[in-house]
Amino acid sequence: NPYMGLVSRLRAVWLSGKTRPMEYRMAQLEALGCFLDEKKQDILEATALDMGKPHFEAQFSEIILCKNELHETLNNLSHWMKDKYVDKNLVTRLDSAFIRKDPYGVVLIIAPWNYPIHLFLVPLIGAIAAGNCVVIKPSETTKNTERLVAEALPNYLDKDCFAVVTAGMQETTRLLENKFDYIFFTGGSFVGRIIMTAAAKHLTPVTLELGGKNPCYVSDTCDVQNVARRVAWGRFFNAGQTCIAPDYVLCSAEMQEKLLPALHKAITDFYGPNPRESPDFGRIVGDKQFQHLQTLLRSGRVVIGGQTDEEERYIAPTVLADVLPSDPIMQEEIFGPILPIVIVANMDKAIDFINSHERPLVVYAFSSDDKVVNQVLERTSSGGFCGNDTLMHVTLTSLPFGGIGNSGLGTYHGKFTFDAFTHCRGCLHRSMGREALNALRYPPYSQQKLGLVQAAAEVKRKGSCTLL
Amino acid sequence: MEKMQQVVGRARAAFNSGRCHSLEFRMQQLKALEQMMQEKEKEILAAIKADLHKSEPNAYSHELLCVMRDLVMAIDKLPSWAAPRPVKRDLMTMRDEVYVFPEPLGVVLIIGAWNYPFLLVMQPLIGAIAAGNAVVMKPSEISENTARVVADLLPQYLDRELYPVVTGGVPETTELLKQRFDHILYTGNSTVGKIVMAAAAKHLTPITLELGGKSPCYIDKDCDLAVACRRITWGKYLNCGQTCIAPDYILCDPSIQSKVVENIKVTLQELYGEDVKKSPDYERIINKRHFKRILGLLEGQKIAHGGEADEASCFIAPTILTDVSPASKVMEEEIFGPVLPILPVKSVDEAIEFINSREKPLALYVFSNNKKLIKRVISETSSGGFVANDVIMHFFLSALPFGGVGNSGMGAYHGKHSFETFSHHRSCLIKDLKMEVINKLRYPPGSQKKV
Repeated sequence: NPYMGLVSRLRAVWLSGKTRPMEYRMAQLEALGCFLDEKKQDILEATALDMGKPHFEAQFSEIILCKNELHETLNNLSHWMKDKYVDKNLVTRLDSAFIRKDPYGVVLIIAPWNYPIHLFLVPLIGAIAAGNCVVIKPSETTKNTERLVAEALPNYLDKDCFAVVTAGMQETTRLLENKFDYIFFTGGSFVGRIIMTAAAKHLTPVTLELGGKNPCYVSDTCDVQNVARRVAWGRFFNAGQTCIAPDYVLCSAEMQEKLLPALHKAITDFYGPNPRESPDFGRIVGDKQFQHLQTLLRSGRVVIGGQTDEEERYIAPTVLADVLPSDPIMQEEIFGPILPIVIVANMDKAIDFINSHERPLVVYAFSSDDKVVNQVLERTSSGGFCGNDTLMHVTLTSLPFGGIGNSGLGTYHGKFTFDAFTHCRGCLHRSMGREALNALRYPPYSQQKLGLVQAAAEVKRKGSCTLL
Repeated sequence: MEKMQQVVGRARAAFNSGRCHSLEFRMQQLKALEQMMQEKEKEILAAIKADLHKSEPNAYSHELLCVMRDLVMAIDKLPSWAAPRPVKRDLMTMRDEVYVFPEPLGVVLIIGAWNYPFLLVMQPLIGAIAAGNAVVMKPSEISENTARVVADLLPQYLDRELYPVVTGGVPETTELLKQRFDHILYTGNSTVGKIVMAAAAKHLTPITLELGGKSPCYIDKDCDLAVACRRITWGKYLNCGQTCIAPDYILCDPSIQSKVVENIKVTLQELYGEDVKKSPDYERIINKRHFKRILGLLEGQKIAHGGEADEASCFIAPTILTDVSPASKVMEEEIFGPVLPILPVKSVDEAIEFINSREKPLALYVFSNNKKLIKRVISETSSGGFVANDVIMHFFLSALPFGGVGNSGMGAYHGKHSFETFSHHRSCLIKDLKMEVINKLRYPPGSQKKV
């Protein structure tokens, strides 16, 4: 296996304990900060070359959000690493009981192409913070960014403990034959299953950040222009190539009529009359994806946009009206700048529709009526939920970010990334003395002993004397 | 076999009906379980005795008591556990509602093991019900009496569609694993653990695997040997060694090996009397297959104590082996029996190196008066859980998450950790449709000023 040497080398270093001390982890994290600062221009250029990522967007998602996560971690790492002391019962009252935060060992991070720096770097922050050695596999689809990471990152991080592997599908399959102590994967559900199956051979725990079709319900009572702006922003950011983008809109026929001109205005405000000329609108990452998106345009009727250019891999910000649930565009995650609107009679029908499909990464609901937003929240299930906006819930480092069912398992961001890469080890430190107390648990048993054991170990119900 | 599809389908339809979402419903089910524990205590204890020759006090304190404790805690704490959890907001979200809401996952599968046959289905069940899920239970067919009692009793007290009990062996479990679940908690061995995870991968189902391994027990020269050996003896021979967190083998300096043996012998007499076979407190091996397997591990070993066996009753006496070689058969697999190998090591460094050269165990035990040494062992090794100067006791502290790492498992439960394991923590951000001015910062056209 071509990667066996690398993995054994990392495991040997891991066993030596090099990555454990807090000072070491902080130094590596600071170095990551330097990477973001010093290579900022290179990152903006590489992502622009790879997928026409607008500089503004790249600064926001690839630099600013990453630095937020980094600072959050640097500020709190010593606190997160501490042993967590827990409540004890009567028997262990004089002992020391705590949860020790242990690293897993050698972990693997596999990142996708849509936010090619962010989606390996934010997990990497947690993996390093938790004290692991890491193999990073950036996406092979965004070639310039992949090269930048492979060439530049090793100059910032300790080469003994952190390695970047460039690999296509075949090589990644071979990489996965090795035993890792944790695998963090961001990508599609199909590959997610392959990753988890490979992990099962070694009993490797995983975090899978997958995707799906994120529904966006717009009720009849709302400020239409604000809704249109927030939905358009979320849909067309990164030319729609965002796992948490609002994938489709559910609304009444009346609302569709109001939304269409409002969406048109928002798109024009954002990108001008010809989005192709706007420096703020991205492109599709590859020919394969571009061609596929073109076929999806044949659903419903094109009301806004619809223009494409193969050479630039440009697809205009597009809105499709009167889309049917059976249309091709409603069968898979779109991952492009096309927003279908599906008519539903009312909120109940919208909720039924959402619940008849795989659970998405996020459910969006727009309404000026709190009750409507809360109904949609309570009666659906999804990774996360955002009322009256799009995308913003992932910018808060205090909220765990992850999916459910087909949209993934596990969470991260902020402390949750540290937790994802940490094994919480239950520890009990007893004294050698007070052996008399233990006499209760030793045979020979008797009813009297049992009564005492029961009394000593019991959790009493508040407000009642008996268990009845 | 389509029966499995029907059972799971019914549980899912029942879950989708929404009736197990309300806290009142979950409380009612938990209280019904409490009632069952009180009314059917005798039947449950009798079943465990029939399966493992376990005395009533033992079965009560090691299985029923733990279940009762988790039940009482869940009933008491459920409202606070299930409440939305507000989180820190930033400048952009200062006026919004931001919280994490624990929600049910859906339909959960619990596969139990035979060694603590009642505890290992019931304890997870409590957390799964508390978290608002439907639960399919598959108790181990090897502990057939307890499986039958669970299958008989649960439908008398709990909602039958939401919490079905499925009985059967490998074919039934294989068919069950083809169905789609929203979480699977499996207790058993690593080999089957891999099969369960591979089946879960097909549906992207999150899993908790409570597996096993060889839990090492290091005895430092600087310790109260009599106390240490008493505690180790208790933990090792409990349930006839058939405990996932039993100290599997001992590592100690060759100079104290014979003292360790002597102390264990003395304790064995105290605990089980002159004739172990006659003690009502000493269990039996679960079946002939495991009986033969364990006896096979004694081949070629120096038996310092014990070794007597009786196939008819699946009795194996508490046995100690000395000067065991790391390469021997008894050191290859989890013993899961009343056989305690002692391996001499010259220092704690050697012990740590030895432990780290093997799969990560479910539990790791160290006996020493030297706090620095204990700290060192914790820091330089990895294991599911750890106890200094005792064995097993961390299991009974529900504030500690109970689970393995590496080959010994993934995920954890007990107490509140069960509730967390069986919940989906949904992040919620609820903004105002007004206050659009703040949002203008993020909209294109972009500019350096905006950045």
